[in-house]
Amino acid sequence: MPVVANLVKMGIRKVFIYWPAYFGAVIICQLLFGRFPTDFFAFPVNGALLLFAIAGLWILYKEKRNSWLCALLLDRHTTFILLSLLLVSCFVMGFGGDVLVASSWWFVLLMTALLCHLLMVIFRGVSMKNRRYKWRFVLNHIGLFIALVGGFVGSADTHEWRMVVSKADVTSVAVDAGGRHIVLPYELRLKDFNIDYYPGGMPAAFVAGLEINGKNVSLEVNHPYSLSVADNLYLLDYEHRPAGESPQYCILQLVREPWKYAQWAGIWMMLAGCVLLFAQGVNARKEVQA
Amino acid sequence: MTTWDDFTIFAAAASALWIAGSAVAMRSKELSKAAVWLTAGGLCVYVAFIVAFWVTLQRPPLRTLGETRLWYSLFMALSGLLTYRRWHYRWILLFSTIVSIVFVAINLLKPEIHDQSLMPALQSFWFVPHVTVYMFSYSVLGCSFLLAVAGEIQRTGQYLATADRLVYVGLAFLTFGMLSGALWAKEAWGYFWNWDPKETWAAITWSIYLLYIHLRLSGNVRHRRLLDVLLIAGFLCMQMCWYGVNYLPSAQDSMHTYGNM
Repeated sequence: MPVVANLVKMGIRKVFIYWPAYFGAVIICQLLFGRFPTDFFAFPVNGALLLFAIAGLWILYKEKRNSWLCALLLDRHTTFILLSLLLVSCFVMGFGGDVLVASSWWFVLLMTALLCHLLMVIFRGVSMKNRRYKWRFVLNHIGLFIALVGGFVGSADTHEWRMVVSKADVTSVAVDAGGRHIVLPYELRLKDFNIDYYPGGMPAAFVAGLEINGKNVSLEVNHPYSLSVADNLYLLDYEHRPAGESPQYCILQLVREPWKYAQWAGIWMMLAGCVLLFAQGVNARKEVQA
Repeated sequence: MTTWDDFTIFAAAASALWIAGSAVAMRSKELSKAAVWLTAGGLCVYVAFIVAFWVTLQRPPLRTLGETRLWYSLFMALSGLLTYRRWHYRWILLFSTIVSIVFVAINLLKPEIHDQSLMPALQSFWFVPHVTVYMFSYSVLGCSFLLAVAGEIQRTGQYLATADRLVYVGLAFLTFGMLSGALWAKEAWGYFWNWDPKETWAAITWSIYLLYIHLRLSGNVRHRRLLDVLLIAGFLCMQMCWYGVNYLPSAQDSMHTYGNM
């Protein structure tokens, strides 16, 4: 029967002691501290922790192969436990339980465990010489790791603002979800706004003609404008007037997400990985001799 | 000039070839070249219509719902053919042909919907791949669900090997659909992933099949019941993700609600 070689065996009983202990501690954190302090982990703290974790786990994998932590992080039951917990958490969210959403201790520490496990599995997978389907493994697992790191570790540096841009005035003011105003280094003005209608009266397309720092930009749904390396500008809404009258202002959304390139790269790696998943099909049964 | 009026002839010819192809495939134990050529011939006829229609319209036929349905049928037949070529499942062509023809028939029988319009948010390069790939994965994973139900009724693990094949293909398409959705979401809404109800249910569905694959990699059918339960749960969550979320209270704020899609 196919068993991935180099499998560190921990013994199912120990796995079912360590993980409940970990998640018990997580629940206590959740009850004691409430919301996870995401802001504290803004760059460079998140970047430093990420490098620290990667280096630490690499040393653990290379030097301390026989340690209980290494065994725990490489045990296949860990995969089942963490995936099942992710599943249960998503279920609760799926039925409207927003308590678990991204910024809870529970979710953050579950994702942390999952990423550590994924990284250890990657270390083991790439070290295997004769691993079959190596490219598929590499693209899917490393792609998932990079995409998750971009979304999860990067979330501390992600910000969003709304702007109301009118024909009357140049503006630089944006408002965040908490109602706080900030002044951005961009000057925006709405020059014109064109709407095409379907015969039934539904908008078929709308385009905002903007002037940003003296430059003409046309903004459409599905076509954001890149203001800088991290900032994207989206057309969100416009002033609804009777047909034939041009809107006098539009509402824009500014998303600052410096880690988006990691997510983008990870997603494309996984896209290539799932092409291989389709092309190569099921893992042949008697495989993977290391 | 090629318009919807010409569609009937092209659709009839393509459907006839696809039906012939799947009939031949069903009857032969090995990979049938005749079935491949018949299906490919049907695809050529069908593509000819799309190209001619595209030229007439002077824009890609992607704007109305009827136009997107053209692509569903095309992708469905194409994916069926590729899967048949690769794995020689004799039933796959029949299956993809039926789904393709359903979409062709909707376009033929309900001409009034041709003018139904696509709102600006849906006018994207990603619309067709995102939706059609998802549809295909739903159909393949639906087959694995049937096998799991059969396995439970007969109390046997003999269908699991076939279910594995379907899950690998289905998961490949499911992942592709989800990731193309993420790339599109970044362009449309600003984030790759935002825990929108539909996204949450997509994550649930995806995790279930991941769990299935990883359980199977550990290599035994001791957990037959658990594996069958996962396949059944995966299918049910997929239904939830596809249209079930629209009935949840939390979906009222969902970005994925497009009215009577």
